[in-house]
Amino acid sequence: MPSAFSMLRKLLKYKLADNSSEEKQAGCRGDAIRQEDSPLLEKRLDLIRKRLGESKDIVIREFSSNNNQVKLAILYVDGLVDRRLINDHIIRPIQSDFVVKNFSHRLAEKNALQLLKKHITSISEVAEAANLTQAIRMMFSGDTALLINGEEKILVYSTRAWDRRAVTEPETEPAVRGSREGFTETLRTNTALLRRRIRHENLRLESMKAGRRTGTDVVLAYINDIVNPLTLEEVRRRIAAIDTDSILESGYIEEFIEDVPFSIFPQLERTERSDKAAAAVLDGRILIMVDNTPHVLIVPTSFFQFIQASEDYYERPYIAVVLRLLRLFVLNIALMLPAVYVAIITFHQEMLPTSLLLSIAAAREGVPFPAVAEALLMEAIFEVLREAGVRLPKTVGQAVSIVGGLVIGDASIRAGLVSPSMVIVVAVTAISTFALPAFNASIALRILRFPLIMLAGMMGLYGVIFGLVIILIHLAGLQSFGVPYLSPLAHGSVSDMLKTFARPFWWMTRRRADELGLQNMKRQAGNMGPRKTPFAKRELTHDNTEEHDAGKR
Amino acid sequence: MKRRNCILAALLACSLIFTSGCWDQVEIEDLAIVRAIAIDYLPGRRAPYLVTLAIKRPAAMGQQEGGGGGEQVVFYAGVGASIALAIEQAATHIPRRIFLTHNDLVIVGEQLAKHGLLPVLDFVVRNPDMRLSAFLLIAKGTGQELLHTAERLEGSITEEIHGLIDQAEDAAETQPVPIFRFLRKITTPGEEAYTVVIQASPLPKDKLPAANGEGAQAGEGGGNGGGGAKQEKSLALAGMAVFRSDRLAGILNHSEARGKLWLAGMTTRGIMAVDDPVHPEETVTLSLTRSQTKITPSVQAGRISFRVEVEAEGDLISQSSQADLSTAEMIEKLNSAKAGAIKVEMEKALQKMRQLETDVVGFGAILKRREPKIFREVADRWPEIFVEVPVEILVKANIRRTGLQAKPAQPLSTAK
Repeated sequence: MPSAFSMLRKLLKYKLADNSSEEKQAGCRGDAIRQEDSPLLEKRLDLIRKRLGESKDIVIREFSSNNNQVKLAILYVDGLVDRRLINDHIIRPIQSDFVVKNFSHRLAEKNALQLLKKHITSISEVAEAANLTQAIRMMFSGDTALLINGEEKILVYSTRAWDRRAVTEPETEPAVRGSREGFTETLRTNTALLRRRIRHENLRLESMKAGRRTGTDVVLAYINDIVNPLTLEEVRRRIAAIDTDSILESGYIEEFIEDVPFSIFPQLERTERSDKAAAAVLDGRILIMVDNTPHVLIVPTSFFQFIQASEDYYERPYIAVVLRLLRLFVLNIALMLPAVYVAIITFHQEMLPTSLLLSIAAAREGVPFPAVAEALLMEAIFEVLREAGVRLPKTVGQAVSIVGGLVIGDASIRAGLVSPSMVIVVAVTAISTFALPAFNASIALRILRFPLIMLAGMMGLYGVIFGLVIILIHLAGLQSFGVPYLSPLAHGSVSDMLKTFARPFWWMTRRRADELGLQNMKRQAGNMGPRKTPFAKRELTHDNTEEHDAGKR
Repeated sequence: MKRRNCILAALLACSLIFTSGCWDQVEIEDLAIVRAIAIDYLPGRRAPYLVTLAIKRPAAMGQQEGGGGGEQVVFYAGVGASIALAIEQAATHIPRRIFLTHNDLVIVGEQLAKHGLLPVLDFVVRNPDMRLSAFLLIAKGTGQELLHTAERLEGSITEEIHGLIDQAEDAAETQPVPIFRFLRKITTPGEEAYTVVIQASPLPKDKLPAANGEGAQAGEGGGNGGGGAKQEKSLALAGMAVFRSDRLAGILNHSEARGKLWLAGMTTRGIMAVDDPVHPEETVTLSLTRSQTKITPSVQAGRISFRVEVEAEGDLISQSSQADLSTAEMIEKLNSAKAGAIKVEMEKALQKMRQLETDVVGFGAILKRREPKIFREVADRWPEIFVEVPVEILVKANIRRTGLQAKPAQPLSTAK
């Protein structure tokens, strides 16, 4: 039996490997080889028209050089380019001798490419595309292709410009203190936000493409001399292995590359905050930035990152400790409060203080449903309300909250359909769910709540513990790019464990986390503790004080 | 293979849940929450145990705003040859499941206490629902009658008894005992058990004609003067029931009970009165804030004796004369008066204990801890020996403060 299984597994593995290699070839080179191409302009334009069809937004403009020696054509997608740039810096210098003197009259088919590239056109970013397919692909990113009759290579100018959303406050992760610049849908803007925070030569933004039809740009951002090279290699490998036709959101990538695809828990942290992303990079993690998505993925991720907020690192450390413990508590509430409530009032009534028992009993007098059914019902109603609130336009949203909160909540209690205590439990649970900084982590909790309530209704606290143990086993088995999901609590250094709950003062934060296997662990010098200027010397002038400080260092 | 096993395991786990069902599931509103059990003994019957269950009606609580929701506590009674049988009989009238885990009062009638508490203790210890932290109370008369006393301040009689117990822990005049401690005492060699007596007595307003002003504070009688024809009574903790083995030996009154607490070193709070050192007809009231008792056994030439040293601290809280009692000399006098009063209380308690032949202080247990060999020799005859053993009592009292004023106010017209 086991041997049969292992044989099957080997077979599967073989097949998988086989498939992937085949498809890779098809994906990468297949198109290029198949497509026809020709250096002759007429023929090329015909080919282009045939390939691209009659799309109105694709502009093809044929023209000749000033001396009429070279036939040229320009190709771009309207709406993705800055037309003025094309007119003033590509077409005009070629057509007129006035702009760039002494060059355009020398144009001939033989030297056109070099002359145009080096002397005539005045756009900063120019690339040479080896063939038509490549040029077309670049054109769809907003570049402009300059076709030269008789020249195989195509000049591609970067003329990207389109309507983009401004950098705004990240709506899903607001913070009282900290940068208000959230990522946008434009990849270049996002990388710029990152660059502005980390001005170091070793910040690498590595470009990849994913999605056969969407041709989405994916950028890996990391710091070369900190990142764990093995993790980086693994991320590259997994993203390169994605062979799908569309990547519309970073969520697609997330699902393709996570370690345990069927898990209910998110194994990649995502953020919209540019400061959080920069902090992650400096911690030695890798960012996966996907074009058209304001959400950036962070790998590797451990579970406890979900109870940390960027603000923890900006305000006094004391409040960070309190808040993290609070969030941990809230996480437990969000997961199991209704289940524990159901378990206790249907199985373990002896656990309640007598007066509480009596008031709950009084509240439940005449309620038609057993506590389990009541809990499931109320949780379901809450989920419906929440979903309705998220999807509706803001103006109607208020109506929903009035109907949901007041009418359903109040009326159902008055009608005796549900007990007030259950409403309190559900409300506390709901608020706890929102108190977690990570939305994607709270999704898992929201779903797991339901099976836990059912277990509680059937087996009491035993059932709840049973469910929790299963969840814990699952969590302990997860990992994210080689880093255990429960690290650093599950295994790791004592200081990392402490840092999970208590962030140290910045001047104490000497090392990066051990669990990532980084190349460079040292964050700062060791003697960064607050130093006092001796009282007598505080009277010195500003200049002197600075010198004094510098000398001491 | 791994995944298949996982799925199989998950299915098995699920079937575990569904096949076991919810056999012990009870909705909270289907419980008859018992708040007190009174157990009485009816001598000469074949089914001598009378059990009264005080069951809380949650519905009555919920309807507070909607006017009278009916009685908060409902009583059910049953008789049987054993306590369990009696409860069973009562259960036939109760439309809900009897839920004993929130019962923390076990009230035993005087008759049953005299007959022996072992059946009660056996029931309580065996039943997993019963809490050993429930208080054991001995009712003067029958427990059932006691439970039927009308509540006054609290919502129900059970809460009223609870309140009394909570207060007693502050007042140090008697001591309510949880069942587990009672059990420990009756099973410890050289020690006897005790617990609190509860009594329905006439209301204070009925006492008024007898009029002895405010002197009632000083821990005198609980007022067992026979009330008039008035039915209205209120409950009070009225001393200490002392046991010989599991049988009620007798009842110590308030001051004897406090004497017993002094002996055992359990006095914490309370007040007491002594004569004014300047004007002996006047009263000075002292509070007790802290006390410490040390009992040392000594054996000399085979003769066992005990020495009890008490140190009591307290404040002066009122005086009826206008003498200045804040001088060192006066305080010293007050100290010795207080020590004397404490010693009297202790001696009274000791005398009563000897008379009842029950060592509720646990002199024997102390002897056993200090001189195990000697105790082993006398263990069998301890109750008889205890009666004879000399006990030397040494009291040291200390008055720490005189409240917010040192000298009493001196009205000009009456100043001496």
